Amino acid sequence: MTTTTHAQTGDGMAQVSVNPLRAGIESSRISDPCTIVFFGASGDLFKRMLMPAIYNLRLNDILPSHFGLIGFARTQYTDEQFRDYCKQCVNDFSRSAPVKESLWNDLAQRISYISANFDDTSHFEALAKRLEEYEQQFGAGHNRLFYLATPPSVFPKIISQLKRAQLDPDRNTKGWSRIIVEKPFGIDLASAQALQKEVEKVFRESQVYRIDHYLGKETVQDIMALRFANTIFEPIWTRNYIQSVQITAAETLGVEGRGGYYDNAGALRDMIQNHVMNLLALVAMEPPASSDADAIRNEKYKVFSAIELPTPEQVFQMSVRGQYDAGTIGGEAVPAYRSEPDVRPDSNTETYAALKLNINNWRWAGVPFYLRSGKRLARKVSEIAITFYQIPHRLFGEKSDTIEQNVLVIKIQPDEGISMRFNAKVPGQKNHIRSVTMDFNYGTGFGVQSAPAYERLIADAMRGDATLFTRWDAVERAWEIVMPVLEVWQSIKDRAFPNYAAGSDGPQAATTLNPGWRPL
Amino acid sequence: MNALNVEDLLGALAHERRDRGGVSATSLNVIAFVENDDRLLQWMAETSDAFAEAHGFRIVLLDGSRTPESHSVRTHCREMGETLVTSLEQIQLGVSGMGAQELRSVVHGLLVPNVQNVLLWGGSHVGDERFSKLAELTERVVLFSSSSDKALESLRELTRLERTPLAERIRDLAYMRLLSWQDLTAQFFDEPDLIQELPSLTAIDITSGSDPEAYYLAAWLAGRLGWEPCGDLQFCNTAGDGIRVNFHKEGLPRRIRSIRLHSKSCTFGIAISPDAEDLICLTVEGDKARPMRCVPLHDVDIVSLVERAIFSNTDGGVYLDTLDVLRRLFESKQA
Repeated sequence: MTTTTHAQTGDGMAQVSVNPLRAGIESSRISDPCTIVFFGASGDLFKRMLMPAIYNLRLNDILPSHFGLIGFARTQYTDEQFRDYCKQCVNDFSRSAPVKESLWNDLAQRISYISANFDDTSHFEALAKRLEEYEQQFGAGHNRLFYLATPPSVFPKIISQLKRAQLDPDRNTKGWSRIIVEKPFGIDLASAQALQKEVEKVFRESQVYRIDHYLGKETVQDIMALRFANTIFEPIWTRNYIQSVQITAAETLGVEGRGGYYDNAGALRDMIQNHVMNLLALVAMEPPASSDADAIRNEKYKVFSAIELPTPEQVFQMSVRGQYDAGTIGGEAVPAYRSEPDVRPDSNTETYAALKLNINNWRWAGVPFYLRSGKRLARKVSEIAITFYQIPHRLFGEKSDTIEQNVLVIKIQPDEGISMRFNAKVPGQKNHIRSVTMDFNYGTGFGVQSAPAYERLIADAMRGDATLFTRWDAVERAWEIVMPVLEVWQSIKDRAFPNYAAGSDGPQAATTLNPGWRPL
Repeated sequence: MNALNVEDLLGALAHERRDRGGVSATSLNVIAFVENDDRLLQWMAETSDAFAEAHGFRIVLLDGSRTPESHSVRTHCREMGETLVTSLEQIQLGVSGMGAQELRSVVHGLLVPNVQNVLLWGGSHVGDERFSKLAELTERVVLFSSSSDKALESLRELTRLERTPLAERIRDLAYMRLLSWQDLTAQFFDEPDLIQELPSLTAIDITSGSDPEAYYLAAWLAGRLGWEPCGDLQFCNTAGDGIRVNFHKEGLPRRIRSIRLHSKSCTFGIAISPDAEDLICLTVEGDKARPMRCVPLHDVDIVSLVERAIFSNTDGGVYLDTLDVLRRLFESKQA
């Protein structure tokens, strides 16, 4: 028998302190009311990812009951024009398009816009006023989530303006204030530290949600479930059984109109320092004591701190860089990187980066972690491949048979799932051995497709769950790890560039770093 | 039906499986019983294919209207990577004239050992001995109390199981379908200012297309709020004040259309939007009025509902509380 929480008052009427109707009802809905402010609401990220995510969260009844959205950007829009723009974003990019009119009408009345200049404090004061109105009108409860979806160069300005307009968390005594910071968090160690200094002036670490959308992907979250919700993997998850770990984030796309940005970034900054390093941490971390965000993030940081930093002399032994030349992808001719719009014709920027990292701790000493990421490669694939040692003594199979090593592959995209390669006897009189693959696919295994990462991450930030966001110490350490490589690559021009054809598996030199790369 | 027939059936199934796919992914046995309802029987057969997209299982489809001469087997396969996997094994068997003990024995022989067993009971009443015998084989029992012509009678019969060990294993789709409505009702009172209205509720209006849903919803509220049945469709709260329950029949069977809760100073309304059938609008009128808010109606499809019924964990006794209130409500009605 369950109980109801009542207390008797003087007039004989019971006072209820805990909602008794909530018992036994599982709900994904976010309980705290809140208003989310999107800085850079007229930009590409908002259009393609963020607004569709908000709509889907409403559609799936995950947004809090009392919710508001304010767009804040330079483009001139009236509230009505912005609502129409938001609706178009959903229709163009949501997995649930087209919008349901009746639902949209309800959501749209909670959306407004401020045409703003980030240098002008009065516009932030207007935002403060609008937030007050929202809190009155929609019962948003003084809970505020600021989302920095602008170019990173504007982050410090927005953060300091929030403080000037008295929108900093210290002034908000009636609710919470949090900030989501899009990647990249800095363009190198020094700039990341400088940005962090600005953030720290206004927000405490617990109020900062540094987003890396890779961490919101279902399979990435499943890495921990695979490791720590099963007993069969963890005992063999060590240097005693694992020969190497390969983490791949390969794209077939080029710079897609972002040549200006990419030419100042490159694969190491754009992918390895954040996405790929985060995957490495999840694979290599020790079991956390609890599922608490900080318990997990502590373990991730420990992995990073155990990674050996290369000296400048070691950089070329543990890294390979590449830049794509013209080639063919999917039967279509594509231009060389240096011929892309807004890319310098003599660019030294790498579009491919591969690293070999060593983790100096008891679990991983001697196990190479190979990381690679690149553009215009043969196949779009993100995966983690864990290769186990060859069997110590061969009992089965004909001489001509190859006994493959066991490989566990965690597939992140485009398919999300897990596969395991093992050897089996081919039916028949002979003792032929052949490798077979056991596949688990999220779509067919659970009969549902995973939700896009941004939906999960925005909802988590509203809930105050920072597990899937990167803490500053890990960001800083990840920069420390890649900086020696970055500095050497920047200081020494690679005369072999371009050194791989678009549509290939990357530069030939990568095979000297790791002859066992899985084919793309 | 004797043991040889069971072996024949399993042999035919194995033969079929070999023809269609090499690997079996069976992790669940579903025993489905249907009587005098060809539509439900056909629905169960069709739903099996949809269910098999997500789960590997064997379904033993028992047709209470046909004799054992009527039987068939089939399998359903899907590709996973390079492997063809058998995800559904279906045995359809006429069981008319078979006694409860014999039925239990035959079905037991047809199950895959060492996996979870579930009974989907589409029979006319749960007082049937065949129901209790088949339920003995399973860890979960899924009922469709709202599907029969005598739905309220079925519900009344179900409440008699409330104090038996079987009750904890029962999931009634008529109750499970109410989840969104329960959640929306609870939403009002998540707000600290509005939660104080709960002790002063005076009346409930529920509009639905069939009776069990309305009874379940009223009994759920009563169970959560500590109300006691005190008359024909009337509850009394802990202070002894009466709460009148009014049921209105409107709309599709097995669907709620609206709920209104009246307190001394407010009325809380949840209703399907007049503009769109897939939208529910929430209103608070009176002293603590709130702007109307609309949310999508999450009308879970039947396959997902069955899936939820099979795999969902306990709700902490809330369903049993609800059955208990219902039983006493029916008893007080009879008295």
